[in-house]
Amino acid sequence: MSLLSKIFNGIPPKYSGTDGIKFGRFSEPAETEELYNLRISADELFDQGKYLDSYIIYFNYLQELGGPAVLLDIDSSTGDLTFKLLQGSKIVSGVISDLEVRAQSVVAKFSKADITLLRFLLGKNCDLAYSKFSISGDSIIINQLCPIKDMSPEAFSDMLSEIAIASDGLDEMIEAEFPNIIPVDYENTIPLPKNEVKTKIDFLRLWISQTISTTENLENETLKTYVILSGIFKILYLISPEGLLLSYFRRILNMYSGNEENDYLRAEINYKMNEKLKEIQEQKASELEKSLFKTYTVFPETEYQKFSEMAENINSLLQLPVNCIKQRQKKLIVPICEYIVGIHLYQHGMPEVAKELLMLFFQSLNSDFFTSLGFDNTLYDETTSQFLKGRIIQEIENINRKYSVIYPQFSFDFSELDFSSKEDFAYTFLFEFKNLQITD
Amino acid sequence: MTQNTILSIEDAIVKILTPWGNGTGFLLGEYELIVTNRHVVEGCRQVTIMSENFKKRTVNVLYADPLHDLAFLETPEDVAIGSLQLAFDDYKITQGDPILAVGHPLNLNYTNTKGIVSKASRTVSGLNYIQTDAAINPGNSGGPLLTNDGLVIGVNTFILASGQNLGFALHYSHLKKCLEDFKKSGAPYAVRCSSCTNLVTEETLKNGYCPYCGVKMNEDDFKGKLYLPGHTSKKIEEIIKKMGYNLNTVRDSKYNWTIEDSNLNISITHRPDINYVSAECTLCKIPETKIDRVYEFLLRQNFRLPRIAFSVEDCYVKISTSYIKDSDFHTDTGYELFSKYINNCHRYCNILIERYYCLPIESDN
Repeated sequence: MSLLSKIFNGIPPKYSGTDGIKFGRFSEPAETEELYNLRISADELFDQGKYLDSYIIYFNYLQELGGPAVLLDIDSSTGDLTFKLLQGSKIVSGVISDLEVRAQSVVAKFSKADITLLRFLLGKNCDLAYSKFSISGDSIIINQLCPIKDMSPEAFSDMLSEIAIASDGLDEMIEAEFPNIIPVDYENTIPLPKNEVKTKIDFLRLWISQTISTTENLENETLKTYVILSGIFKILYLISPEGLLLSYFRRILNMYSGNEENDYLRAEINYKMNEKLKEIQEQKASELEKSLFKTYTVFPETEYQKFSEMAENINSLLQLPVNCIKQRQKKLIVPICEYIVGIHLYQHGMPEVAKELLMLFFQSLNSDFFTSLGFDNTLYDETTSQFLKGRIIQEIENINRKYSVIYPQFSFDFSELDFSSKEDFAYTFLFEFKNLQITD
Repeated sequence: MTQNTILSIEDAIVKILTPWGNGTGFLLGEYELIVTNRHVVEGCRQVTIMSENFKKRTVNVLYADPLHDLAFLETPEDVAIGSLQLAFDDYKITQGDPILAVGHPLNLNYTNTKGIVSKASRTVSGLNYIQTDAAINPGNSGGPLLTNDGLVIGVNTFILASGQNLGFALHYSHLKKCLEDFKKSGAPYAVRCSSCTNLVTEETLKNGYCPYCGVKMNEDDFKGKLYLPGHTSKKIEEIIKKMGYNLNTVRDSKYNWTIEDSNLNISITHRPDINYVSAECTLCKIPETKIDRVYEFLLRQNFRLPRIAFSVEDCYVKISTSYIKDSDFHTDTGYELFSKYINNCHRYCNILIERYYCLPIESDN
């Protein structure tokens, strides 16, 4: 029985409707006061030498944070703790006794140890600070073992998070890159409903093709980069691919370092990124389907960003759509604004209110996608090419009402929104967004 | 400049380590003194030196000069250090002359930086400096500025932080006068008074004041500044002492220690910014054949060994261990971990060389 089935008492979870649709990666949420107190009390118990008690509290904290994907068994005779948790498709497991702490995750298996794989793993160990790649039998493992006295729950959390994120992040890459690899633990994924899969494949192809066609005749290499990145972040957030497809997109993102100062370098990178997008475009639907599933995740892959920092960042990025106007490229405003929204949603945790507003932004501009997924609140009429202004305002009023209790200064001023075109809407929305009073 | 000249220059260069930082020094054989900047050794009566040719050892500071930012160190008797020569009295330095700055910038060992004299004479606070365009960085301080023939024409002393490649070397005429003054004093230790410029010795120091002009002298120049390691550094140093190593030769800086044990250099680092304590040692180079056997052996050991991780970077096999949080770092378990770790460094170095035909590392640090 897979760990996922065990968590759900033998019945693998399914979902229908739009409630279970996952967007983006699991982001670090703002830590509530109760969670903070739980974490601190675990460390206090550890400092008092109550090692196992401190770890029990820590796992309570983790269960609050990671939901059902954390299992803890306490041996009634020895008091030893055995844990298992899910991070994407990977399982991190271990034992904590009053003497030592062990944790490990099997990344994949191999039928034959290839030298390129072995070297890759030993090279990766230079990047890992708290754990290490190793092999045991035919398994590639990330593990660590430490006397309990030397590892407080705070340190354990760092180690566990490194093991979980490295294991989940590298499995597909190893599978794709090296020969003789046998994937493990794929049974811990949740299949998506057929309609969701179909919609996601259709829009993945549509958005790639739009990205390529928009950039094809564009001369400005800097704007071209932003358009390509916009397409990638939109796909990563709204379609949320996993598995090989995620690994593929990450590799495209890694091509761009952000330091390409001259046009020659940018042109080369832009060309390469587009070529890779075309390769994805050419993949058969049956191949793409394999990377469309849902997983449970305990450790956030993205760090929480304060709203003030995000607003400052967005404020400086809003110079980009202004440049589009200057260069008579008004049609690029939508992809550029979607880049600003996509990169923030995909790469950062943020206050819920900000996330809801940015999702509303995406929903307004990509109404066809959301309608196809089954969302019933259409916000843009594709036949008349008009925003359904009343509905968007209604959504904003709902958000204003919901969050003004938490943030007394918060109110999104929809009177400043320009609904006359997608470009005007996108720019004015972000302009108002960055001015919001959200304190965290 | 020929390769041989560069090599003979490097023989005369030493790296100077104190708890507060590091710098460069060079030996002037004629005076049997190692020259450096005073700011490199500030507040130290003893410092650690090392070079390509000898391991770390402690030497005494003999002269401290805040006025010229110069310091002289004793030359260790048990090792042979190459020697540099000062330029002759009438040596003419002109703008555009090619120069070479040698030092250990940014903790890198032996970097020769070529450049030209941008201005032969630049007066700063009444002293004559040679301005160069050589890209001098922290760690170069105290190193020699050399002509194309390898003659010392200055001591690299400061850079303009806001400027790009603006280095300033104290003119060798000042250095020569200071060397002569110190030699003439015959004192085992002397400090130059920055007010009246006389040399004050431990014998002539008047209750902490200059006996010639009455100004208060810097107490640290005579007594040595007290080094107080931080909480975690203190524990690391207790462990190092308990393991039987000489702390003075092991300590590289406040947060870095290098244990030279047989042919292995074991680095211990504390990163207070991320509360992390780690140790790392380069064991050997990968062999030329049957490398996959080595890799597989290392990865299987990684699974078996608690807290120890093997990695391969370029051609080097490395072994490391760490404490995730320095708050969990205890002297007793730390001693146990580091002792086992050092044993494992030797053990696995031998196994890798003898059984897996790995190649020993040259002593290139």
